[in-house]
Amino acid sequence: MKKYLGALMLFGSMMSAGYFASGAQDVSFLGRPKGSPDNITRQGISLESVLNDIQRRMNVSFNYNSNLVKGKTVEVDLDNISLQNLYRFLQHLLNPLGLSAEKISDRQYVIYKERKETAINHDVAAVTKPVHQVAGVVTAAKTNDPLPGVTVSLKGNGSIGTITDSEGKYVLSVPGTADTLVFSYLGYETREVAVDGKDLVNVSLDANQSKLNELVVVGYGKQKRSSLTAAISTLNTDAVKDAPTGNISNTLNGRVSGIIAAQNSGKPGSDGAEIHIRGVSTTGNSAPLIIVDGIPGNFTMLDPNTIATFTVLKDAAAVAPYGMAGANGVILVTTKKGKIGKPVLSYSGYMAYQNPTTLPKLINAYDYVKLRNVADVNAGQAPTFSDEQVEGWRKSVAGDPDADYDKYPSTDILDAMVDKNTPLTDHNISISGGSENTTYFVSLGYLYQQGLWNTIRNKRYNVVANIETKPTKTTTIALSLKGYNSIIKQPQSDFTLASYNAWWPTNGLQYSNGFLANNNGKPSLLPLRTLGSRSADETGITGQLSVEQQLPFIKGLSIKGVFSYVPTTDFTKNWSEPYPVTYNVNTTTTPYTYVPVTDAGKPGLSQQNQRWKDFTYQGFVNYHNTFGKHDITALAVIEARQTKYDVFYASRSNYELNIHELNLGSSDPDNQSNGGSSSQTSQVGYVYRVSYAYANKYLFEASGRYDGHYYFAPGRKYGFFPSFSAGWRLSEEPFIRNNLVWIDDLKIRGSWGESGNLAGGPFQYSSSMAVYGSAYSFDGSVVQGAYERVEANPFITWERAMKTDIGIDATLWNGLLSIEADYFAEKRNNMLVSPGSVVSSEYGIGIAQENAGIMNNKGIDLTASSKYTFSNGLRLGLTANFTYAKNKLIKTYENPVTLNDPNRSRTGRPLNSQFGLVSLGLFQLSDDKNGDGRITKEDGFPEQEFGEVAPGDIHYADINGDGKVDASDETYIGRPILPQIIYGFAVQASYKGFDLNVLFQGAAQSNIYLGHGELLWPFYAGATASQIVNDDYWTPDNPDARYPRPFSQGGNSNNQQESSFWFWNSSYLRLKNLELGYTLPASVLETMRMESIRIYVSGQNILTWSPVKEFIDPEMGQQGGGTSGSNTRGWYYPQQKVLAVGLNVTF
Amino acid sequence: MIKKIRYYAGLVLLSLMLFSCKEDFLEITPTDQLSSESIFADQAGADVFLNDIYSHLPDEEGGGNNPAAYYVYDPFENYGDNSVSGYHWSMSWVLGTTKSYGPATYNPGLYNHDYPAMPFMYDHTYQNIRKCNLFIQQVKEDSVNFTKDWRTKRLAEARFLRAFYYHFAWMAYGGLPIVTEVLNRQTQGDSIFVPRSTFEETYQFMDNELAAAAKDLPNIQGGGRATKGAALALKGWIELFAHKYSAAAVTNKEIMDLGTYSLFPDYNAQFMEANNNNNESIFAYQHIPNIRPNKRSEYYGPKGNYGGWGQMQPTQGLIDDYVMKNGLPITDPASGYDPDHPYDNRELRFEESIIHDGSVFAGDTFSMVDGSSFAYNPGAENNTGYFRRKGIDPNLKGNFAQDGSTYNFFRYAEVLLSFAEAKIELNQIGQEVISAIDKVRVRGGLPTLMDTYHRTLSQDEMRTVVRRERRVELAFENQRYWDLIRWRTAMTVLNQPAYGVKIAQNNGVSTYTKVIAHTRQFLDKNYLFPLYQQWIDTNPKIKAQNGGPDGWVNGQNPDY
Repeated sequence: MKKYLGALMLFGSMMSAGYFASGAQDVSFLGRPKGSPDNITRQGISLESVLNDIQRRMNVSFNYNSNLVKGKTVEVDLDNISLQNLYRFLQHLLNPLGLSAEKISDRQYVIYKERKETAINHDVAAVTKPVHQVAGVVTAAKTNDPLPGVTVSLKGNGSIGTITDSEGKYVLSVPGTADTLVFSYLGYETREVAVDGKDLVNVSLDANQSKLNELVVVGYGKQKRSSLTAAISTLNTDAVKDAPTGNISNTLNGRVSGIIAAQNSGKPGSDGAEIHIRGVSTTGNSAPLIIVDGIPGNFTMLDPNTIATFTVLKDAAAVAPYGMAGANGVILVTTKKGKIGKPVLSYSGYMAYQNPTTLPKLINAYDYVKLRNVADVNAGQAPTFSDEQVEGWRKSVAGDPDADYDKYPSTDILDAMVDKNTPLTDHNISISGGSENTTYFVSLGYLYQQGLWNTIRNKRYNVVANIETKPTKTTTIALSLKGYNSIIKQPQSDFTLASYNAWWPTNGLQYSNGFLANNNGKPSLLPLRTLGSRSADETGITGQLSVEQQLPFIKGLSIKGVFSYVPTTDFTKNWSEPYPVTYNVNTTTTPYTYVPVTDAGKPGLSQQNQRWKDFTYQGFVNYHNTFGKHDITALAVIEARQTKYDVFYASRSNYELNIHELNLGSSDPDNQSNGGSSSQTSQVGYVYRVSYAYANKYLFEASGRYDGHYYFAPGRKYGFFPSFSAGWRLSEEPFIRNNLVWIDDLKIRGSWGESGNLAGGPFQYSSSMAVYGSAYSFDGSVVQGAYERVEANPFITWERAMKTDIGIDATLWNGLLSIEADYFAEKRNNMLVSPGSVVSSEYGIGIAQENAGIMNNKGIDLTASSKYTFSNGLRLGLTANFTYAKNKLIKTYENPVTLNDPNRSRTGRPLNSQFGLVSLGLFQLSDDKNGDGRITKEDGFPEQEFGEVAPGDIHYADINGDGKVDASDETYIGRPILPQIIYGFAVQASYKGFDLNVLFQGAAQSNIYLGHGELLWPFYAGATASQIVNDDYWTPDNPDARYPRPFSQGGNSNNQQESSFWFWNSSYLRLKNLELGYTLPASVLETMRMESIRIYVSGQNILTWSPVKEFIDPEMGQQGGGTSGSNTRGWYYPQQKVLAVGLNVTF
Repeated sequence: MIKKIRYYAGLVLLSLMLFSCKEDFLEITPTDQLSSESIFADQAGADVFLNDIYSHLPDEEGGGNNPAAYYVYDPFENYGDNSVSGYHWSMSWVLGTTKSYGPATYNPGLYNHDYPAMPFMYDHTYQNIRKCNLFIQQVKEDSVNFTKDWRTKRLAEARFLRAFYYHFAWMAYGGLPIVTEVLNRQTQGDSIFVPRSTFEETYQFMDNELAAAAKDLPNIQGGGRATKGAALALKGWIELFAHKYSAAAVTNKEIMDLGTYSLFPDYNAQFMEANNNNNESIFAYQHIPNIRPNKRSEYYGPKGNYGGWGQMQPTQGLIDDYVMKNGLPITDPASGYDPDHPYDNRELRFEESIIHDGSVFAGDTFSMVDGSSFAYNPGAENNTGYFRRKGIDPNLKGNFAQDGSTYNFFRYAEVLLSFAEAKIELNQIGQEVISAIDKVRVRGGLPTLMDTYHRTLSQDEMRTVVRRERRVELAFENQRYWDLIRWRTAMTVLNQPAYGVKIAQNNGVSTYTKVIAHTRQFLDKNYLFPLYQQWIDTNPKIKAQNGGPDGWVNGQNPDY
């Protein structure tokens, strides 16, 4: 025993930290012949080849430092060795060379250099300390497979250690019971475990995320991560699959570097985020291409539980295979497949409650009438409300005993109309498994999400069946069926904050007698929650058959054919009903009389059937082979796609009965209508990729696509999109490998290429007349009409993106820190822009767009992650993501008036930069020097030409100094609404069955314009007013007010100019996701006969910090862009804060 | 087995190759478009093109379903003094208050939520002028495809339509760039930029065009198509607008002599769908029920059970201009007007045009007494205490989409009054003039002028009579604003507040108080609308225009 111990200590000291990695790597390759001719000498057979031979023949493994055996030769006869005499044989073989062997198990031996004196010394040391023997099994965390060859060493004393055997078992004597063992294995996270007096220490190791041999899904194939030369990031789908959100796109921000996303709406079924890869690079469509299992798809149809891989292709090298669809970046999603093994049945589900993150704060009825009267006087009008009315509403709001609620109603409309704690629930059951020949994965998912009214709901069913079979050794046939059915239902009116902003708090919903109120033409909103119905029922089925055949006559050559057929149908049905009876109150009588208002309308129905049929044909030729140190991969793909679309709709009105069937509508032709149309699309692409690697060190790749699309004129349909990339794995170079041992992996890479972006619409090349029905009527007979569409542009073509990327990938300190960092620069040419300013309005027809716009986009994206397992069992993972993208409009058609004014020029600035006047604050009484109540030239101020100006109005800077303030004084005042920076910081921790997953996500460098609307302009477009404004508007007594004096009718346009007054910094930081789980211990599971049970609580959008938080959800500002988007008016469907309880079970 | 599978895999690949190599795979023919050549290949195709030009006429009573996209719930009538919008945020209300617009901020050419239904949207006008020019050019070029009769008639229609589009913009902006050919930037270079003609030149152009069109157009009712009467009515109107009184008198007389038109016996019934294209209607926008319905009843009809929006609320000023049954204005001591019973004994057109306190409409009795639902109450968007009745079809309640009634651009009553007005301005007040006015009065249920006044009236008195008659007869037909402009009375009229009525009731006795509904402002420069700065900036020839007979500065109207 002592000898054994000593030998191990010796082994440990030799296998000092620097050799752990390479040594362990060798271990993992045990059993593979290494036969290098260098090792054969004239004197005999090389020791190394002998050892290799034994390992191969007897299926045993030797662990040794290759320096020990290098150059040594032996003369042996291997014929008589057996497992029984192997140990003796090894001693016999090795001892003359000053080496020794130690038997770990029947099939595992360690070879080390005999150094007796060290061993003796250690014997002494060992005697002075109590020796404790620890044993255990090391397994892989995910699969529970035993891990052979794991290095187990004593923390703080690298000389004590061992290696696990083929069954993952180890035995180690340690000096004390309080010691800590370190388990390390390449491709897995290093873990520390305290012995804590135990004899048995079983350990499971987590696979390392950045493991270099991991296969990464790339365009039309897979590549080893270590040989990638393109900029690619992946999403850890495990971290997001339990996030309580209806759409996986809401989990990407801050988790995947390179993605800048924003969720515009919280509406069930349309709450997906808009995604930009590396920001916005074009004035046109900037949405990335989303590919699901090889064909274009979308996130709405995906059940997050079925996603296996999620890859973001960012640079030219990565997107080139997608030709004219790739310039905005590509997201590749693959769904799960079965694994060989017994069937595994799993359930995963959660139940969540949602509440809006932000709702507008609206004023109460008493404040409304007071503010309205102030606003009237400011506008030079008589006060709308008499003193008696003001007093009436004061009583109602105060709840006076003699308040007259029928005459002076007081409504908190949001409180009355918006549901709280609305449910969101998701369930998924899957079975997977397989035999040697056939694997399967089958999954069924269900999502139910309610809106802010319980009548708004989204249901989604997902089915996935992926089956793969190998009828012969060289043939793989895969069949994939993915189906979804999404049903979105709502009443005929949608939940809309616009109607609540427009609802005066002085309007009643119901009278004291329960009658629904009608407020002089504004009927109670209550029936909206239930009146009529609209449903959109979409079903899509993806059927995919793929046949792959290895061609044995050329090694490494295979061909594959894939056929995909995706029929999608969308059936919408809108049933509208007349409003229920509401009542006007007549207060001239005593008691009051309630005059019914009846909607004389009758129910009506409209139905629409839309049908898409997508066909994709793909033919692949794959080649991969290695010649010595040369590794060659080649791929060629032909892809053709075709879509056929048709729509048919019909409507009937004047239903007598409340049954929504088309046939039950009125048969009067006046009450009927129907119609339909059809269209089709097609495209063809020829894809290639050639990679060459030398010694796994120098990597080169060329890829591209010759792509054709029906959008363009004959002869101009095809384009070529090439890319080139290279990588250099510095960590494979001896000068790093030998000197900087803390570098596990280091690669620098660069790429350059062109990709395309389909822009505009079909047939813009041809001059044609659009024909439409029901244009006009003569003497009651309806006739058709036709008009010129736009002036044609026969030269119209796709956008071209020139992309450059330089990146670095590093793994340091045995996986403790991984970094992926990229710098990118893109120049987008050929952007379609409308040359509006080259002709005048009198020209009378739209000019076709031209491929004349140019835009730059530059930035960096970065991921840094770290994982560590502490001795007390705490596992900690940290990941930080950072994406910065800043674009610049280089050339567009800009009106010369703004173009030639450096303050106003849109060209040369980021797209959607915001312009407006510069506010100098509010005018004060003291500014009205002549005391006439107005601020004019006579008071020494430049004339503000937007109406009368008085103290309390916004004071603008006369930027161009021409003595007046008008539109020509506008200047750059704010960044685009879409943030230029998105960052995230995720923490994953687990301890004794508990796991914690936290994501803080932030955005910076963005501005939002919260003017143009009801949010901050009282009474705008007939709306009510915000409490925020009511609390702090300008009066002579409140000169330091935040907001200007209010105007009724939204009339004074001075305060409604686009100006810096209404600009906010809309950066934010939010606790985007938090998940805390507990996995039941194995002992409990055994009694329940379960594989695993995990329960968790999780939340989405839990906390938000932002300067605009009190007005609007900071992610909300995106839609519509610019300053007039409806979101910035406060018209949006709020994002939801979600809290969930969930369960994952494997049976 | 293996061989078979290989065979199949190979087959899949092969078929893919074949499929994708098919040359015409990317050739797709759109199904909703036609080439320009094929449209003008025959009369039917060319007619379809012309139909589109008709359909874009500035329909002041259409809805957003019209490609012209006139959102007429804030109608142009509200720009004058006959009515106000209900919504205090609407542009007619806001601009009426502050006139806080200028060339940089005011763009009626671009519709958005904030702008009322302007019949003179600049971009829209020139889009349709181009269509007319294209039609005229193609029909002339491809003349072999068409019969001579067809060509004569349709070319005249296109010329009429072109003048029609021009005239609204001319009234709003003054002189315009006159474009009579299809502009082509490839072949015409900088000559696609056309300078502004003067007010007078533009008038002359339209007048000549209309004279030519009138010659070729048939003298029939037309059912929506341009006719001789339509061309003459427009001609007579622009002559009146340009103060060419002798020409106006001649042209309007010409229409009276056509023999095609007469006053419809029932003043209000003429606006209903059943009486579309009656003999009083000279040129009207044709609506299509359900698809392009008339929105008049829905937007301007009364609130309450009827379900209208009440967006054309009559002012007290208009109410006061309706005379008594005896034909005398309420200001005349002999009229018998009783301020305590202001709605008693008023002329027939008052009852047919206005819903007031006590009116019965569509089965409901309207109370406008303070405290009742639709009484004057600005806080509830009831600004005057009146609703419009004229042209509102009580039977449409709940079925507004089915309103197929037309919207009159010109009707015979206006021709009679225009003729009379021109003659009065010329001080040629003969029996012909008096009888023209009398025809309108008598159809409206009033005694003749002689029966009313029992004497001949002076030129000034006649002017007052004909202007009042015009206001009342054409109320809510979007005419009033242009009349105030051409009479140059807007500075007086539109600087007075719009009034409503507040009715208090005590012991069954009502007292009627005139209350301010809306104060407004009209400045001298407002006689013309500003050209939107962007139109000037994109046309270097307009931008360069200074001085000249119209006094432009950088192509802009004076004072802007």
